[in-house]
Amino acid sequence: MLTDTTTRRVLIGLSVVFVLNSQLNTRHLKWVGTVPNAVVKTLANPPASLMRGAAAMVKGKPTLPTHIDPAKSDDQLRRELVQTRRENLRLWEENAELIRQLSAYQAAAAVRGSETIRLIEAHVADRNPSRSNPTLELDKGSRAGVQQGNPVIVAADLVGFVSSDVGTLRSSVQLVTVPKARYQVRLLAPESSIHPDDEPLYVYTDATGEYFYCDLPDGQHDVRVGDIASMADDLYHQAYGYILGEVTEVLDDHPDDPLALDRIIIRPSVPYGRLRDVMVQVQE
Amino acid sequence: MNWLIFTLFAYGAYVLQAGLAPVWMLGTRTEPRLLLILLVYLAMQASPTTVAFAALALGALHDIQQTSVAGLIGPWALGYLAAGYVLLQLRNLLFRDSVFTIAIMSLVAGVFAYLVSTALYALRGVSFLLGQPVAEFSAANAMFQGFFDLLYTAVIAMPVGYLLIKSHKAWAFKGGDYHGTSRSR
Repeated sequence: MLTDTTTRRVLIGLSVVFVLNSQLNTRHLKWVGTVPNAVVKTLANPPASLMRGAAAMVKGKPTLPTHIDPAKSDDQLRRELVQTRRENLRLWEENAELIRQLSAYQAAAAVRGSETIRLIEAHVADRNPSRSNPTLELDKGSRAGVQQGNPVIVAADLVGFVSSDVGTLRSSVQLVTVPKARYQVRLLAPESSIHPDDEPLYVYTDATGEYFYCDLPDGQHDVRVGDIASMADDLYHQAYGYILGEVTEVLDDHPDDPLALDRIIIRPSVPYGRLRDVMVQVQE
Repeated sequence: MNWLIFTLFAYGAYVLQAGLAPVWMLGTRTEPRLLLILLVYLAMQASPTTVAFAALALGALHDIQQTSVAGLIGPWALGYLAAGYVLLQLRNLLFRDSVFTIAIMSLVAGVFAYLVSTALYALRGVSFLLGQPVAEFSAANAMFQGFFDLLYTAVIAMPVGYLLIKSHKAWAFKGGDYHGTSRSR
């Protein structure tokens, strides 16, 4: 079919390269795939992102399902209305407490930070939900000052770090839930203020990428459900003070064994799958 | 073939594929493959050498678009090359200017593209080779999902194929390009 020998050789050569490339391990893939990925995505992501936004607007947001049974009597509905109002009030109060907490973190960050640090808004153009390498694609790149290692946040919650894949108008963010990751955190009770002298401890990402965990000696800790894990890792000093997640479980499988370890489960409070806008902390 | 036009069309297909996802995605994953439709059209018109290189380029774009393994460029490029080869073998039997041809051949060629790419993805998990399986990847699920993608692609191939056929002059197919069975334009 292909008569020209040189052309045939080039084609066979390219095919061999692609076969070898398709079987490269992920570390080496980074070297090979970075440039073509960066070129194509830098050129194509901005218009695709605009189009996606317009398409989402045209389609409209899905209406939230209600759980009100039309068969319920007026009295029942009135009772439920009162209960819902009470719950709403409670949540507002809880929210106010969280806002105070957030202010404390921001104040701490301001003390620690310098004038060269600023936050820029970025839109999530794409996401890779892969467990082995969960990433987000942002519509801001080196032109906006984004650099490798910049922390990406939502409010005070840490989402991830900008990876080495930074284009002019786009960048890729590796989520904090990437498997085999380890972070140093301080566990803080929500009602307490920050105690910088508390000993930080290491937490590890679970293989599923859904939570972090650490094991502490039974009876020698006062970690409770609801405690907040605040970053305190010198390796990720730019993210110091941001929230990694919240303690959702303290598993004590052997309450009678004093040598047993309690497993602390920390879950991130950011819904990575539904993120649309984030902030990138850039340094000038 | 005019490679500048090819670049523009490939770019357009890539952007539309990514940009229109919220509108035309069925369920959470089923979506048409515009790059594949473009390959089918080219395979009906261009010379074998052109088809081969265009298939590799379009497949590489598909690889860049996939997000299951960051930076992995190869499985889809080879899948598209296989699809291009199949199309070159079959095109003598087909009416090249028919949207139905483009729709049906999108389905047929797509099967080969999916088979090759799925095999290469699955190979990554073989323990005595790389032994690095793609997370949450199952060959059976990939082919099952691929079947719906291809059905959807075949439907979308009709309007897209019509536009591509209408753009025939811009492509400047000539010289060694294909001159097979054709209806009068």
